[in-house]
Amino acid sequence: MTTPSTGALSLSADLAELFQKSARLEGFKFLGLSDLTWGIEAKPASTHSSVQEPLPLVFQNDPFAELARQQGQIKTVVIPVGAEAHLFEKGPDSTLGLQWVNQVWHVQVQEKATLEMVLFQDTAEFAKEAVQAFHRIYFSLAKDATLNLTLVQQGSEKGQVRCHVDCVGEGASAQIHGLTVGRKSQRQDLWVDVHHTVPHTQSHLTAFAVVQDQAHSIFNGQLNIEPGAFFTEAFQKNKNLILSDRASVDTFPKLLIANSEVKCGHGSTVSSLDPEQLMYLQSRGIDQAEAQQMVRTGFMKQAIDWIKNTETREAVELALGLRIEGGDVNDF
Amino acid sequence: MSAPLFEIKDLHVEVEGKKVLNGVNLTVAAGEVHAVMGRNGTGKTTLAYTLMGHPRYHVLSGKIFLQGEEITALSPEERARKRLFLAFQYPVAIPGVTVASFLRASLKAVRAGNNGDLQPTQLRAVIKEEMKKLNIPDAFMTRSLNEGFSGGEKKRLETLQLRLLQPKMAVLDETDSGLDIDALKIVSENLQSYRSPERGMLVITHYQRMLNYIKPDVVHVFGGGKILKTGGAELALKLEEQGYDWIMQ
Repeated sequence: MTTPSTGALSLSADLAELFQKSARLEGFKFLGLSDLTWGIEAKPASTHSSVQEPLPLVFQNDPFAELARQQGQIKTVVIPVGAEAHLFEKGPDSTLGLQWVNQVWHVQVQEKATLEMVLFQDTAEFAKEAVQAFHRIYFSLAKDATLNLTLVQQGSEKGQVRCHVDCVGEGASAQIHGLTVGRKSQRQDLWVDVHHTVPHTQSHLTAFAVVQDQAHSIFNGQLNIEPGAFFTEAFQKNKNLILSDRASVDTFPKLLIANSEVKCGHGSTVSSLDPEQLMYLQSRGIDQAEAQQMVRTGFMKQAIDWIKNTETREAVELALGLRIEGGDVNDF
Repeated sequence: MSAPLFEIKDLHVEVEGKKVLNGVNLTVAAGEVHAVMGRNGTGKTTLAYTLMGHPRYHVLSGKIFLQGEEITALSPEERARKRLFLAFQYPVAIPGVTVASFLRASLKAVRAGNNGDLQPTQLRAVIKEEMKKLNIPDAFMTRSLNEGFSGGEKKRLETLQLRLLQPKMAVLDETDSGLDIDALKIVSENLQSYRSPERGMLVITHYQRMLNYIKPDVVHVFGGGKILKTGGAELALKLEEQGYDWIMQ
């Protein structure tokens, strides 16, 4: 395998082959490589026999992650007209001993295409939490394109996800959920910026954060409704659960509306564990520690339950401690 | 002579610095159903929460006994495991926690070692059978606990829990509120059929309508944080006709 140098990187054919294998690229076309950049394109729905099922693309063992050591990456994804795709990015890989990760995604969802994407910024398995992870994601949604996006953060000493969604085609819609889990002295930021530039587009953003110890979480959400974006529906909510006296959150839900023919809303809540919820569970024989865990787990699952792809959802739940091997806490 | 099933002795309680209960005395023998009626704001719900051990309600003096054992200082979960049950007037929603996972955790906590450890398949069969009796659809199980539930759905779920957890002593805090006529009939019949010579119930209500299904052995009138009058089932009928003024005078 190619060893990254500190200078300009040259991505060799064998690395490209490795990438194709690990990324389960069936149904996708490789766009080519340049320094620190690669891309893929999902094949059109009509050319893929199993288009009814979302196309899986799993970067869990991303060979390019090694290249990102002390470097950065730019990834480009195109979901073509009418295609349906599922993307799951989880990392950085804890076995590579990264200290600093910087990734940039450009995702283009073309007309009538559907993308479910889960970005899981997860460094929880590191022994020393000196990892700093930064993800930037830019989405462009064409006419009648659909995005179901889940952004999850856990484990970094400093973690930041900045997401920018452009609804540039009429009928485009974005469903966005965020979950930030802060422990120890971690500091995590989630920025979501949605731009509605044409009429009849929708976005629904709900971000959850649960912080304990001395962790600090920041939510910065902004909905921008342009002058010509009539009949936009755009909503954002930020819900925060604080589990210790020294943990803290900052929340900035913002709406910038430049026309009057819209339905919009925004709001934030910050709370600790609700004693009435605990009382209810305890009155059913559940001890206090388990009751606290159930309320916390339930809070987090509100973000995760929206992931439609079962395999991905279970992987995320497992990594967050919401699931035990062999059974969901909610299985019945 | 054996101890009564449930006993409250001279109970004085304050909540957030305000004295609400002023010396409640009440004894429920095994097999009995007692109704507690009274105007709004007289302390009925405070009594219910105090009996279950809600930490917001402070017992200033007095004692509570279940099957002869004092439970006044026990935590809510300890009381539940000793088979005391409270059907809440306003069951709280817990988003993200499904009814199924909640029932499983609760049954595991209360019934394990009490009524034999049921295997998961047996447990599922028992729950489904009880759900059928209460007209609760299977889809209920995957919903978040009490979130977005109608008043009727909440009370059905409370009743389902009572039947599954099989308490010795059940306190029902206005279980008839928020129910339409059909739901009232289903819930009340399921509560009535739960009666047995070994079990007791304390039914807090404003109306006679549920007592038409669950005939009380004893009716207490509550006022000013204590019991003002005690009588038989006919007392509830008289209250329905004449109101509370004649007692207050």
